[in-house]
Amino acid sequence: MRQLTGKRVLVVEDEPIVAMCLEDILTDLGCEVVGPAYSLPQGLAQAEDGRIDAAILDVNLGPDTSLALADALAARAVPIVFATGYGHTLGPTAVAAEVLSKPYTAAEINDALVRALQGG
Amino acid sequence: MQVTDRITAGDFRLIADSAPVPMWVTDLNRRRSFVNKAYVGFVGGDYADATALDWRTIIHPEDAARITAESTAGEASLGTFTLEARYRRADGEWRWLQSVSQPRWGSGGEHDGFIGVAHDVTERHEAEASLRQSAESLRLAIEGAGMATWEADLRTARGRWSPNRFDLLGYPRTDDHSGSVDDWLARVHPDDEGIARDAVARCFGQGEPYNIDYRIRRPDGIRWLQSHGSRIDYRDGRPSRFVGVSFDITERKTAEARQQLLIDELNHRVKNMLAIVQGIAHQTLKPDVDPLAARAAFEGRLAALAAAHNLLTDQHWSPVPMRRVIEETIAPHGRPQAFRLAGPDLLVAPKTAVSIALAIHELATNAVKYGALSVAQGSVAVDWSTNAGEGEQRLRMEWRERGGPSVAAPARRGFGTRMIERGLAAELNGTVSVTFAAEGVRCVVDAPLPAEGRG
Repeated sequence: MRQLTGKRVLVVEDEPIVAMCLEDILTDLGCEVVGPAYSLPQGLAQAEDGRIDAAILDVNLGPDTSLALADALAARAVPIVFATGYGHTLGPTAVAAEVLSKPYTAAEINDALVRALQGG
Repeated sequence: MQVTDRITAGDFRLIADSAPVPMWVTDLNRRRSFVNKAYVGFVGGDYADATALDWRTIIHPEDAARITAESTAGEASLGTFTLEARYRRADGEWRWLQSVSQPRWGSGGEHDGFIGVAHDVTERHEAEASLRQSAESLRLAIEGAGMATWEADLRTARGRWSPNRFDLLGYPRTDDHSGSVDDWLARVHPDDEGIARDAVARCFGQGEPYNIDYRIRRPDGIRWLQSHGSRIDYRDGRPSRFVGVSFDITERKTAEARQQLLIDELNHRVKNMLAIVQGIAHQTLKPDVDPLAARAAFEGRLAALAAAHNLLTDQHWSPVPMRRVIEETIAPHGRPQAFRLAGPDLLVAPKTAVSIALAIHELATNAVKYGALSVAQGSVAVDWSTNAGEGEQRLRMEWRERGGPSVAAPARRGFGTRMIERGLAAELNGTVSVTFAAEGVRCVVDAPLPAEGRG
């Protein structure tokens, strides 16, 4: 469970309570949380600066989706984990990513991040 | 027994009178020189009346002109001719008679007149009319149900289309109602052409009936059709035919797609709600919190979430009035008269309403436990306002407690405060501050006014 120690993980999630929960889980896993960002513009801005080792992206962000952000991160070879309430279907995206179905457990987040980081 | 080669006039009369159908003999001057008993029975009166009767007086008015012309032509042809018309029988009933007339020749080969025999064909006419009527009723029923029909010769793949089939496929109607399988295929959407061609090939080849849903491209747009087709084979050697019906199912397909969309959306909302509940559980059920207190807090938070969702469901997930969000959230906490709400009519987006409800719930819970609502004389003022007409629209909301016990800032900020300060701030994209002032807890929200709240 300590494989993630010190990893900087960008969190983009438009539901504040879910974001807080995710933050706590990531902190418990030893990660450093970047964000959380609550919208696509905030997420794009957070992705701009600083070092990011991985990102957990909610697919639906209010009126937007995080697919544009995923493309930007993929271009920088940042491993991505999608979190979605729509089961395991994502729609059209060229980005190879782990997909987590909401609600998720700490163990699922750990495993998805580890796989994403290995794949990257 | 010897049969003579000439029968007598008496024999002839006997034969003619025993025949069940009217018979007559006319001279060149068209006068009846003989009629049989069945003839007399049909026209009425006695023999003399019957021979004297001009048949034009008992013919149906609608048939008169046609029959006059046809009989004149028939007589002039000096050959056998057949007429079919309605005549009034002695009892007044109109009967369809088919008469066959053939010329008579004298012993010297000269033309003497005609011999006629008539058959009552009323029943055949009625059966035909009834068949025409039921075919027409069937056609009306089929077209009334929005169904278009076709039938084609299997050898040419061409045949007759019902008029509404031309409309259905977006072709102009033609006078001969002629349409082909290729005309139909030309309208089928390229993505569904395989389905259509395959179904028709199997129907033509193996006689397999089919029932397919497919799209067509019509000048006015894409439509969904359903078609049932089958092959009819005849035992008498007639060529097989290809027949069927089609109808428009665009509305059903659209409704199905909408239903799927709603199911997906509902699924998404349920999953999202479970994620929120999980988040609340995670924040509430910490190892260092007393289990009973944690359970009470958890239940309170779920109740606040449920109340907010009741409100949203009532409003069909459209923006809700700010006042109602606050009222419904504070209802389970303390005395209603301890609250004073003041602010303009303002609509907030559904998602924002949930965040505001959860924040108000946390403030109210804290006020009941430790703050102004823990004592009889305490009160809470909730004010909100917008700076209408002063550049960027902003929302300002304040929760201010008075008359409670002296407030001490907590040793650490719990989930409630954290959720208010961070969750609501994130939701509103503004700032939220909670102050534990000695005279009472104060919470100030300052945020750009969400688009839904603007006039």
